[in-house]
Amino acid sequence: MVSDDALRRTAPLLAARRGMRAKDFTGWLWASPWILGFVLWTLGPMVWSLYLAFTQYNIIRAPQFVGFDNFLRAIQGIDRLFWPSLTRTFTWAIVMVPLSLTGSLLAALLLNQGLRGTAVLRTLFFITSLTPAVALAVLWRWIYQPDFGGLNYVLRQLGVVSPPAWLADQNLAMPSLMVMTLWGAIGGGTMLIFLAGLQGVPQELYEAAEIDGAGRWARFRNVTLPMLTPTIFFNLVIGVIGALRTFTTAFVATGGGPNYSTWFYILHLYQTAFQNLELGYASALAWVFFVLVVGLTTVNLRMSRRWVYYESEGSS
Amino acid sequence: MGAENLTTRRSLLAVLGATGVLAACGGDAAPAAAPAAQPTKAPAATAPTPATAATAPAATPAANASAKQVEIRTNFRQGGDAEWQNRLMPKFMEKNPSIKVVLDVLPGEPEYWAKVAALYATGQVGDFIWASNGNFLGYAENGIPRELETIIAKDKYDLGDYTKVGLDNMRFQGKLFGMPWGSHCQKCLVMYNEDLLKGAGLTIEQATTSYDALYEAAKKATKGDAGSRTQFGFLPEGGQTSMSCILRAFGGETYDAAGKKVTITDAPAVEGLKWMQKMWKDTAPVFGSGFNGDELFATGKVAMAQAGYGNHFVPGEKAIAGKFKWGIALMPKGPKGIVGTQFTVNGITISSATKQPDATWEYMKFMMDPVTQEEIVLNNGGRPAARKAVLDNPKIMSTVSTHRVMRPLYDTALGWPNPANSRWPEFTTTLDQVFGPIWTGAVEFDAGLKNAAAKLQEVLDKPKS
Repeated sequence: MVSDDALRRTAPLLAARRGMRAKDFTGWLWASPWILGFVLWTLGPMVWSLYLAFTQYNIIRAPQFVGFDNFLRAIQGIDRLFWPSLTRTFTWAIVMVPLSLTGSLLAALLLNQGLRGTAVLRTLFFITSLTPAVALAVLWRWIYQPDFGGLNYVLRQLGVVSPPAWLADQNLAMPSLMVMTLWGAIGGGTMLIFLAGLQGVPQELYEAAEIDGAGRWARFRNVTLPMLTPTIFFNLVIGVIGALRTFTTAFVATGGGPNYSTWFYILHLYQTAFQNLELGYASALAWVFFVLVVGLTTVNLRMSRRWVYYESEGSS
Repeated sequence: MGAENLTTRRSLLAVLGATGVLAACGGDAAPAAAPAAQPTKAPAATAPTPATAATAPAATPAANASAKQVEIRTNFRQGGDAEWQNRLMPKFMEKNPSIKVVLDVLPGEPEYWAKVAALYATGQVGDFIWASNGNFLGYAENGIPRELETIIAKDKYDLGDYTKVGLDNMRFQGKLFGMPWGSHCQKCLVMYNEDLLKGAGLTIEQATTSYDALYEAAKKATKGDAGSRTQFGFLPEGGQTSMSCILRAFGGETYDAAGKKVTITDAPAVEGLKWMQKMWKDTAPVFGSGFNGDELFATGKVAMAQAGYGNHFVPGEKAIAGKFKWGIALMPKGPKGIVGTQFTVNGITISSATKQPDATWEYMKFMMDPVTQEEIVLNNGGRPAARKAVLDNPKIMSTVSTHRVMRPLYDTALGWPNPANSRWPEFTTTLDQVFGPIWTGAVEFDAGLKNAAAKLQEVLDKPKS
C-alpha cells in the first residue's frame, strides 16, 4: 500500500519526469535530421573507411583484408611519396599559419582604426578571399608565367635580366604557392574574426592603460593581445587544420609539380584514391592524417591553457 | 498535464510530418502508383512514356510487345561527349521508339574512372559506358564491360569496315570488349603559323623534312632568351602519349610491349628525348609554367606546335579570327622512317551488368553509324570512329583539316601500349613530374633521365590496384 503522503510527494516528480521525457523526445526529434545526416554521411563512411584501411580495395572487387599492410606501406616509406608529402604539408602549415594569422591580425588592426574609408577598405581586403580557389590559381598561374606573365614583366622593367621561373622552378614553386595563397587568406574570414575580436575589447581597459601612461605598443601588448587570445586560438586551430588540408591551389596551379615539389598530402591521397583506384590504401592515408590532425588539435587545446585568457573566467 | 499533452501532440505531428517528408523523398513510389489509372494507349509509332508503357495492359501479346519500352542508361564524362549525347539521344529514340536512352553525366577524368567503378560495384552502372584507352583495360580486367563478340555474331554485324588497330585497342585477352567510337593518332601533327614561318624565311615543308630541320626552323622562329621569350618556335606537348609519338619516330618506346619495363634509356628513345629537351630549352615557353598551348597559339606568338586531331577546332579559326594564316601538317618522319603515332580510342562499351544488351547494342550501332559519326565529327563532338566509311567520308575529309592530314596514318598507326598492371594514369602523371626538371634544365639530362627511369619503373613494378 502506498500512503497518500508518499503519493503526494512522488506525483510531481513523476509528472516532471514524464514532462522531461516528452521534452527530451521533442529535442531529439528536432535534432534527428542532423543526427541522421551525421550518422549516414559522416560517421558511417568514417567507420567504413576505417575498415577499408585494413583492406586492399579497388572499388570493383570486394575488399581483401590485408591487416596493417597499408599502414606499414606508408610508414615504412614503401610508398616513396608518403613521407615527403607529409613533411611538405607540415612545412606548409608551419610557414603559412603564422604568416596568415599575423597578416590577418595586422589587416584587422588597420581596419579597426576608425580611419576614413574603412568600409571601402574592409570590402577591398575581404574581396580577395571571395575569389574561388580555382580562379585564384588560374589567375596567379598567368601572373607567374615566366615568359609573358605580369610579375616577370615588371621585374624586367626594373632591370632584372633573367627573372625566376616561379611555379616552374622546383625550388620556388612552394614559396610561390605560399604567396598566392596568402593573397587570398590574409583579408578573409580570419581577418573578420580578428576584427570582431578587436571590437569586443572593452574600451575602459584602453582608457585605464592610457591613464597609467601606456603607449600604443604597450596598450597593444598588454591589453589587445591578451584580450584577443581566445580569437587567436580559434583562428590558430582552424588555420592549422585548413593549412594541412591544402589541395586546390596545388592541384590547379602546379598539379603537384614540378618534380613533386608541391605534392601535398591531400593531393597524394586524392591521386591514390581516384586516379590509382587504391581505395584501401587511400583510406589508411586518410586515417593517418586524421589521427595526426586530432593529435595536433589536442596539443593545441592543452597548450591553450597556458596562454589563452578568457575574461569571463578571470584567469588564464 | 496540458503542456505534456501538447508536447505529445506536437511530437506526433512532427513524426507524421517527418514521415511525410521521407515519403516525398522516395520519389519512385509516386510514378509507380499513378499509372494504374492511366488509359492504356501506347501507339507503336510514337515513344510512350515509361509510366504508360510499363503499366499498359494491352489487348493482345503482339500489341503489348510493340508498346513495351525499355530504358537504357549511358555513362559519359562531362563536357563535349556528354553534351553530344543530348543531341544524339532524341534522334535515336525517334528511330527506335521502343528504347528510351537516359544520360548519366559523370565528372571528367580521373574521377570518371572511380565513379564508374563505384557505380558498377553498387549495381548502378549504366548499360552503356564511355571508356577511353586511359582506363579501358582496367575496366575490362575487372569485368565492367561485357565482351561484344557474341552479340556481334548474333546480329551478323560486319566488322570488315573497321581498322585493325582500332579494334585491337578495344580488345582484352583477344576478345572485343568495346567499339572504337572516337579515334585519333595522338599528337602527330604540327599546327603552324604561316606568317611567322614566312617572317623567319621558312615554309612548313622545309621545317618538317626531318626532326633536325624542325629544330632548326623552330630555333630560327624563336625570339628572345629562355624565360623571357616573345615568340616561340615550337611548343612540344606533355604526357605519355605526346612523348610516345616522338620516341616512336626515333624508334624508341616509353616501355616495352609487355608493359613491364621502362625503355626510355634505350638509345633510340634517348635520341628522341634529347630532341625534346632541346625543343623545350631553346624554342618553347618554360615547361610547367601554366600556359595553354592552344590559347598561346591563337595570340600569334607561336610559329609551330605539336598538335592533334582537335586542333582543327581548338583554337581553330574562331579564335584565330583571321589574325594570321595557319595550317596543319604532319610531324616529320623520324630516324626510323615513320611519323610517330599512338593510336588512341575513346571507346564505348556495354556493361556486363546490363539487363538490356540488345537495346544497348542498338544504341552502340547508332553511335558507330557513319551518318551519326559525320554529324559528330563535323561539329567537334568527338573524333571519328575507326572505320573506313567514316575515315574516308568526303565531307569530313574536305572540312576537317586535321583529319585530312592525319588520315593516312590511321592505317599504319602504332597501338596503345598499356602497362601490364594497367596503371597508365599513374604512369603518365609520374612522367610529367619527373621530366619537368629535365625539360627546364634544372637537372643534367643523364642524371634526370636515370631518375625518371627509376621512378617510372617503380610504377610499372607495382601490383595491379
